[in-house]
Amino acid sequence: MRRSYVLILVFIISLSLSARESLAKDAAGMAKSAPTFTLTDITGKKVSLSDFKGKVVLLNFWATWCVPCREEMLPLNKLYADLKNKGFVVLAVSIDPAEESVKTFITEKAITFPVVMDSEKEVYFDLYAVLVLPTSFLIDKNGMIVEKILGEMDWGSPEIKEKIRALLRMR
Amino acid sequence: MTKRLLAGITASAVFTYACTSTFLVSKDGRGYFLGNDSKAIYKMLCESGDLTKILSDAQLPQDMKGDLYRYNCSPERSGEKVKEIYASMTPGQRKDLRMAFRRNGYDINYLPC
Repeated sequence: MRRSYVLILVFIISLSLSARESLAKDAAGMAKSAPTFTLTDITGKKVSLSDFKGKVVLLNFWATWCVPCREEMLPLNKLYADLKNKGFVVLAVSIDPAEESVKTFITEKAITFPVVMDSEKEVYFDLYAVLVLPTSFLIDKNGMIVEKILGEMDWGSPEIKEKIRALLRMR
Repeated sequence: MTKRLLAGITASAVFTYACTSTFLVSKDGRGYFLGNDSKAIYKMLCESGDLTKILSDAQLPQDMKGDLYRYNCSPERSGEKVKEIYASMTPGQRKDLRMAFRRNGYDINYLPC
């Protein structure tokens, strides 16, 4: 009986790991270039993905009405604070219909990474073809998507920190 | 005890914590997953003629329009197929489809959770 549980557990964990899709790669298995975009942040400033060229970027799609997205924000803030001086940036793209709720949330939680608004869903739907919230794209210094992560992630895990550190070490 | 622990771990592993896993459309406060085999979405999108209007508004290739209609409004309804079509679209085509839904009173992927 115990063996069955272990087998089921192994199966489920492998399924859950597969949520880190390789959609970051094209049909030939090569990494895809992250489509660039320009959106406005919650202070009214234009922010482009290309502004972060040469940095490792975690592009996070979220909304205030999405509970798992909200729960990711504090661990993401901590990750950003830990690694920003090494060339890491979190860029959060909110698909909330209006920015008031985003501003309130960001202020209350003291989020320090840039948060841009995509109320029209041009980047979320048209450009990145996202369907699950939260979805995050890990982008290397050369602007290539190295991983697409579906659903809530433990951003404080040593595994993800090491992955980001490895990308930071790369040229 | 071990059994309970394993069952607990299993349950938490099963629950991939995320909002929406497919293409969702909403109108008048009601949301439905495209390609879903439910009477409600069939009534809203197909019987009403809304999807026909949306697809005729969208500048998409005819075969893509045909597939989108088939996998939403025929006995071959399939959320997976709709997702495949969505993934195969160019950004311009996705924009066109999104705008066509919007012009007909629908929002895409708005599901408070």
